[in-house]
Amino acid sequence: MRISDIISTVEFNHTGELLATGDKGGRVVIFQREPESKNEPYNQGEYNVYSTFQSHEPEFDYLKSLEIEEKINKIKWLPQQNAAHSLLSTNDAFGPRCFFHTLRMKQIMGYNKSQMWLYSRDIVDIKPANMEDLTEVITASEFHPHHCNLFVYSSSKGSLRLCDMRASALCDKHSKLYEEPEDPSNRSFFSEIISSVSDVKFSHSGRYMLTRDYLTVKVWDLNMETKPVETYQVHDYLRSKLCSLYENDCIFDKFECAWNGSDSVIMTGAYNNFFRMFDRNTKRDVTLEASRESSKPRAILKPRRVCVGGKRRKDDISVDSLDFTKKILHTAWHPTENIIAIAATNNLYIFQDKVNSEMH
Amino acid sequence: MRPEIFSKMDFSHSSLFGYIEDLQELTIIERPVRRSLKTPEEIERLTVDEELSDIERAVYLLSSGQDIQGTSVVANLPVLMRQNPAETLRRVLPKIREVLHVAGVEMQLTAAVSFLTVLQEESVSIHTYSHSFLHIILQNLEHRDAGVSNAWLETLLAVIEALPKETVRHEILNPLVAKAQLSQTLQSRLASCKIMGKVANKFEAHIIKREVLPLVKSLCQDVEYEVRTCMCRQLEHVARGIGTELTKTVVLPELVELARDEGSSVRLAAFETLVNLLDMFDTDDRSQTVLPLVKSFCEKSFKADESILVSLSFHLGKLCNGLYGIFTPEQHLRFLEFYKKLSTLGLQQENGHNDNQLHLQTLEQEKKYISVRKNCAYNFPAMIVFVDPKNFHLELYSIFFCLCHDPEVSVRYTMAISFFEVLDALVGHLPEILELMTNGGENNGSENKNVLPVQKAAARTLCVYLRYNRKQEQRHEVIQKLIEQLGQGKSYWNRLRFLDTCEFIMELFSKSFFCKYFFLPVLELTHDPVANVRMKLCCLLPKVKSTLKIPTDKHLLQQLELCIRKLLCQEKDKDVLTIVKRTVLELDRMEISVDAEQLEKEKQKNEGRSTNINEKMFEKKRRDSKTSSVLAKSLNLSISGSSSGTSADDSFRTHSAGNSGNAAVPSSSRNLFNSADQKNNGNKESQSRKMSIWYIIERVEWDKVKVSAFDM
Repeated sequence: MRISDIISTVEFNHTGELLATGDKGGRVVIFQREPESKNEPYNQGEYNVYSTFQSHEPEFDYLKSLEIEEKINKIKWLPQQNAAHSLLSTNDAFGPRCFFHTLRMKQIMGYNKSQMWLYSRDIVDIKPANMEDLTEVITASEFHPHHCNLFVYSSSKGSLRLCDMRASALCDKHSKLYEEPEDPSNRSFFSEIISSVSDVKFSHSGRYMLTRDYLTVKVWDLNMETKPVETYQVHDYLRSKLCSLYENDCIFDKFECAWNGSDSVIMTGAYNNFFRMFDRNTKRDVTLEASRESSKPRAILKPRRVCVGGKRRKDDISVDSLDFTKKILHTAWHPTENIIAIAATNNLYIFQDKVNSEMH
Repeated sequence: MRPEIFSKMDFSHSSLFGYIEDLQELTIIERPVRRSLKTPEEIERLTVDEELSDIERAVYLLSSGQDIQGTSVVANLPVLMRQNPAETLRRVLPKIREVLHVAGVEMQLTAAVSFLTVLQEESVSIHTYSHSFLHIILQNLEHRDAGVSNAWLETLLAVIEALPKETVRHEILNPLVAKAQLSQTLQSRLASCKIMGKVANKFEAHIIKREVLPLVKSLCQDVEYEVRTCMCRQLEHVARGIGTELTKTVVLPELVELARDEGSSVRLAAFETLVNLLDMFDTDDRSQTVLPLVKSFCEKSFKADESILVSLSFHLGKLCNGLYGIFTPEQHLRFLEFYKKLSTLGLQQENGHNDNQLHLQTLEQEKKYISVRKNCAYNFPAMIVFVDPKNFHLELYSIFFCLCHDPEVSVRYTMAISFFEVLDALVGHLPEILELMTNGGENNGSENKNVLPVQKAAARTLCVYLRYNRKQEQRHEVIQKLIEQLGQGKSYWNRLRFLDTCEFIMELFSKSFFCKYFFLPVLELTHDPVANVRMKLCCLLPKVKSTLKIPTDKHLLQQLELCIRKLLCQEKDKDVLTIVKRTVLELDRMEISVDAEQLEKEKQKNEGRSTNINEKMFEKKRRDSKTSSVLAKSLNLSISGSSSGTSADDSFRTHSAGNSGNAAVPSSSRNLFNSADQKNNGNKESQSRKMSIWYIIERVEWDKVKVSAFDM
């Protein structure tokens, strides 16, 4: 497998009819859902390649004398205005100047009927002369789905800041700060690293925000700044392994998270090609695996279990045998249906809920 | 550099990505990835000796690097200043000064911004700054490119703010006085105006009188209208800097003069400055000088000079309140009428008497009228203060109504935004707003259709107000009033609005707040004599149910189920019954939120007891369902709604086991999300909806995907 083949982002468009993916080689591949066919009932819902193109090429940054990777960091679909579909894709070159000292944010404006896209990245690729100055970086950001003046950004210190652009065009001051007080009993060398937020997503309703940090996913109510309304453990068994995860750099992995169409289920990735889902109402959760072996087309996924300690049942996998090179960082959920797209290194898996498909 | 192009184009319709075997038959051509875009020679030329320090590299690049490298050094100046101010000042800055003489526009602009950043970051003392940077700024101020000189002017204005007054006087003011003559270019006279505005608050009265004001005066009387306009706009800052005494004797006469200027932009600037300075004038001046000026200005605006209507409407709120107290009752009324006229400007009623005029209204004119109405909406809170809140209903309600129903979205939007302030201004009259909200429907029988959105908006605002009101007493009062006057109101219309209000409450408040205050009052409406109310209640029930948490709210859940049963048994109205049945199905499909923490607590409390509460509840319901014979079939549906309670119980066991150390390892043998388990309910439909068995529909191996010839 080549590095350039690693999938680096997955995104459905607003109808779910199209799915765009980007990879470290700067390629964008777009899939289109096949229309339902009466003759082949199995064929409905499949996504086939619609178009592929080279979105970014490696570039050279004169100011920094640096090569800029062609890796696609993010894809955003623009709302469809006419028969044409359009999307924005970015790599690291956006905003090529380097700044440190304070939080930086970078913005992409899509000049498309007041639609704006916010894009940010942390600046670990540029080392400030004085590393002490670098205290906090922006890790993710998103606009509110209904109020175009609001956006949120997350930081490496685990906090979320909501900004209102009606207050000021330059958003160096936030309107609301969402932060959970640290539990002193859980404090360790790794506290700050694992509390860094790797992704933030508004719910479709606009009332909640979903954040992912290294070990948990959290749901925040926009109306409550003091603590998240829900916290789910993604792989708490790794808490005792943080040392070795630091050694192999895994602790810096940036897992993304996603809402389902009705905001009742959330999904995020883990190691060993596992991904997790949490039902917010019933508090049930499930671990599934995206693997070559278990997933011939139409194969049904069996829930997987990781066992800690002594009692190990058949089919359980022990923490020590987890493969940390197989990680699911990027996932996407169809905007209305139970269809999910999972990027597992150089494989893209698209799964469908059985019930969902039966109801068609 | 193009990626290689592939020959086969028809893959979008083949099942190419379904099966690996198919994929392997294809010829895959790899895309050669070129790692670098520069030839070795180019890189060689851009390469700098690694041994050089930051300072040395900066000096080297400025003296012999390419333009783009020089610009990057200039952009990096604030960082160098932070790291090593002494060496940067000694070695880098003189180089920059040299290079700027011949620099292109881009480097000039970059430098102006960098200089400003250095100032803002305070990496050197202001004394050092004025010593080293100020001269460079002043030197480049006269740059022939207007963009560049403007950028330097911006930097200079920010610098003036920070400089000690002696430096400003010697380095900036004196040279300016010496050269701000007509012989200077227009560009530099305009710059002088802005600098004057900035320096005016720096000095003692006698210096201003002797050195600043003569120059200000001469700029006010400049031959170019652009200069007069610019200076006129700066007069506000000048006036604030020199105090009321000098304003009265020097600035006001100038303003009066400018207000009669031949150029309309000058007159407009004078008008706006007068309005902004109202608080600086004494009562005499206001009534003797300003009021007549403003009056004639307003009168002319309609007759001759429509172009100023936009600005006039924008400043009207400030104007009316600034002149409050010196108006005669007649003038007061006239300005209010003027405001009302502007508020409906361009609307059909306004031009109804003249159809031709309506058709002649150009697009541009229409846009202008919309801005005028938008400004009126913006000024609405100020006008409430102007008429006194207690006269609101009498004087302004009709305009309030018009603006809220303006055909233009932006006007209504502005109105909605200012709702907060409206409420603020009327806060002493809270009961009246409530009254207005609750009575609106009855008073305006014929306008019912139009009142609804306003009432809804008012209800929403009240909810927002409630949310940010921290005074417990007032909070309770509002809640109480909402329940008594709306929820238990005599008119069905009010009770319907109560349900609207509850929707807003759910949207804005926490689940527990809603449950605490509004859950039961909402359920009360099950007995409502009016079918429309019951119908609306049914539609709201799924939302209401979603606020419940088990086990905390189990008694509320019981109440809810009781209500549904009553509706099913007693509902006579055919239409309502249809909705009830549909709602029951929907409620049944819903899962109730589980409060894991609370469950854990209760479990510990109940440790040792053989049955837990939820199971009891379930048992009880089953008995209920058996004893009840009316509408047995539908009842069954409503009972199956309780299965969610049961499954919650089930997951409770699972979850609490997970909580005790390893959430990811449920001890129950049951597969999470996969309720193939049938022990608690036999309803196939309710089972399958909870199932989430995932299967793969597609797997694409990335290294098999080809880059095609599509160009975007």
